[in-house]
Amino acid sequence: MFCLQGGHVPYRDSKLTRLLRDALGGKSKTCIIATVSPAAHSAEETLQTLEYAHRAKSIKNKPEINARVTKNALLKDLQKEVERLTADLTATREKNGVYLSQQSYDTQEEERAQLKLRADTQKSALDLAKSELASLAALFEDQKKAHKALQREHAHHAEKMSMADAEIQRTKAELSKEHDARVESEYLADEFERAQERLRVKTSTLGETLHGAKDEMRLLFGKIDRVVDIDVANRSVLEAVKSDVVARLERLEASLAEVKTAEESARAAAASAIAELEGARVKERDALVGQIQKMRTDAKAATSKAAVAARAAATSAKAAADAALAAAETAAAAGADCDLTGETVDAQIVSLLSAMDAGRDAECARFKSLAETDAARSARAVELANAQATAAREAAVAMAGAVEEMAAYEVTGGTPVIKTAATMLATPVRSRDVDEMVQEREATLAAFRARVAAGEASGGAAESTPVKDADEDEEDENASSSADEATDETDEEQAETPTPEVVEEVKPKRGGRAASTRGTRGVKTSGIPRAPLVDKKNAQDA
Amino acid sequence: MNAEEQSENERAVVNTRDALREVSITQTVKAKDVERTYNFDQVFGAHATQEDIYDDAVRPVVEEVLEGFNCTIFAYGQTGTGKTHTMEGYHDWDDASSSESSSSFADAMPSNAGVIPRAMSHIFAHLKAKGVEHSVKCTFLELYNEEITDLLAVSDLVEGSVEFANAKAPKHPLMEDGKGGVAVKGLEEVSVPNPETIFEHIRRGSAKRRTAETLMNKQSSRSHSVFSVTVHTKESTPDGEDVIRCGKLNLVDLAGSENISRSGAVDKRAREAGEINKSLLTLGRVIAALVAGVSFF
Repeated sequence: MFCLQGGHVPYRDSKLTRLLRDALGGKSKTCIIATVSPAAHSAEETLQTLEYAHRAKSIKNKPEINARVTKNALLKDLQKEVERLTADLTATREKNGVYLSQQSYDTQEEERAQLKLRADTQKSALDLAKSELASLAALFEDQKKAHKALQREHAHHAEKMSMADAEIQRTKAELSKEHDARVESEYLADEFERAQERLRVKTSTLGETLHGAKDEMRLLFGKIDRVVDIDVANRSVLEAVKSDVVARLERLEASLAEVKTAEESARAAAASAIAELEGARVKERDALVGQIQKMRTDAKAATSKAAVAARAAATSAKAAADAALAAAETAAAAGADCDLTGETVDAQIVSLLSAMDAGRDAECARFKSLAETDAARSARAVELANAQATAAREAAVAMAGAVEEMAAYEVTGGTPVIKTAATMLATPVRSRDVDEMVQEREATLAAFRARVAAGEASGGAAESTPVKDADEDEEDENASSSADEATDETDEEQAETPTPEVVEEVKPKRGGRAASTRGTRGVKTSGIPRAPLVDKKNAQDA
Repeated sequence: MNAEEQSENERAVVNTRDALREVSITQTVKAKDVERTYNFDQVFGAHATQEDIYDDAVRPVVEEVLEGFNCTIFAYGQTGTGKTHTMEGYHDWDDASSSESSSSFADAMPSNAGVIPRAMSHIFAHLKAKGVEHSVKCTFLELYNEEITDLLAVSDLVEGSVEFANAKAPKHPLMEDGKGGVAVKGLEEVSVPNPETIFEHIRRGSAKRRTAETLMNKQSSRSHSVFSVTVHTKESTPDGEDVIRCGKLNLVDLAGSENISRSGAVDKRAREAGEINKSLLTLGRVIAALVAGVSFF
């Protein structure tokens, strides 16, 4: 029988395959007729049948022609067989049992012995194999157990492995993260070192500057001390100046009051004089009026005109002189008109006029002297006030300078380094003290300024009062205007001398100034009496 | 297609292209027609006659047997697809043969006669034509549930009687014949002198099988039948020596293949399959093993 090499073919599993073993992969020629149904419902079976047949198609048999046996050989074989069988048959018949010919018995015995031997050896082999099998089975059991244990272990390990893998993954991720972080930190460290280097350089330079600043600060503190000393000195000076100024102001006030009283007395005198004059004039006029009335009675039209003129002269109280002049003119005109009446009237009028002129001249002289004294007095008062004001202003300027100086010290102390140094080293109380001092000083200064302003205002009021009292008096007005001019001049002069010591020097200048004002007044006064003369000529011409 | 299938208006899914020697089957998988094609040595359509099949497929095999080869012909397929029809033919043939004369038998073979009668008639016609000395012996056995039944055994019992069925044909164990082959112990080997005799034997065997089926409630799809013919011819060599030539023809009608498919794949569910039909399963396994073995070369 032919059998394919490799691969076990389970012919022995069924009788069919045992019978047809030769047909399957053997020496036979084999043909498989596969029958199928074309119906759709058996398509699956059909497909499987076709698949099966198609598979079987690839089996390769090795067909061989059965060996031809010669007739003689076949006959020999058959004869031997027949002999053996007949021997057996006869034996069976004779013994009425199983009989075998001696030859076949021998051969069978031989075969049996051989078979027994084989069986024995096989049995022993089988025993051996059994024992081996048992040991192997035990071993197998052991192995199985071990295998199971290993499997469990393996599962355990696998679990662990998976966990470890996860751990590794996590660790890897962390590692990469940390690596990144490390690179970053390295970079940062480098940066930090560089920054530190820079900082070191900076700190060294800063230390140097700090040392410088310290020295500067020391100097500054010295300066501040000095400034404080100066400040104290200034304060004392200021106090002195203040007291001085106060004293002077008091003095000024006193002198002003003095001046006021003097002026009042003078004015009263002037008023009395004026009243006297008025009275004299009224008397004169009455006399004149009486005369004119007499003339009027003499002259019909002329007397009425003279009466009108006299009334006009009486109404114009302000221009007393002009009114007098107008009266005189009217009188003259009346006189002229009364030429027809008589020469006597003329002579009377001329004498009256001359008397009037003489009286006026005297009056004028008296007024002049009065005004002069008055002007001088007011000028003095003004000068004094001015001097006081300038002195106060100078003191204020000096004070402002001192304050500015202080502020400047503070400003220099305000630079950052020194300021920090100052805050570090100086006690805050001290700077506050300085501030307080400055504020105090400023307050006192403001008070002082207010006071000075008040003094000026009072001075102005003192100056203005006499002007208002002047009423119709021309010379009083002139005097006040000249006094104004004089104050302007003194302002200019005092602006040129800023030191507070100038205050003492102002006093002696007063005399000079009074002299200069006199000239201007002379010019004006001389102009007043001339105008009536011109008018008189014009009237005479007419 | 059989009458039942035709009456149900079943759709034909198998196409045969005889000339191309291929069979294609159309399957509807996921609303899509898939055609699978298999190539075979010979393909016969639905309209092929018994004579066509015999002349194209079996005749060469029988001639090989006469040359001295051992040959086997399997019929394999689903139940109802015509295995037995192919192998034995319409069962009326024995009547026809009995009515006709022996000399005219080969010529007057009924159209629906199967492979077995045709092969017999072919063999005898060949031997007669050659005119050589010959002997023809045949056996006919059935395999059911791993038990061999001799279909040609001469029984004293009346055929078809209940006693016959109950007596149960003696079991015939398989034995090694000492020369590598197998032999069935006690198997009746009948010498056949002429076709008429063999037809008589076949008729008897088939009848026995059918009777057995009926009485023992067997299903043809669960049993295999093996019809074997051994032909010895004597030839004279040129040197005057007589030589015996021996050829054997096995004609196997297998059980319905749906049993093996129902048992699953070739190796799977072996126990169940074994219960159904061990032989068919083993045949499949043998073929699979041989195919696997072939694949090594």
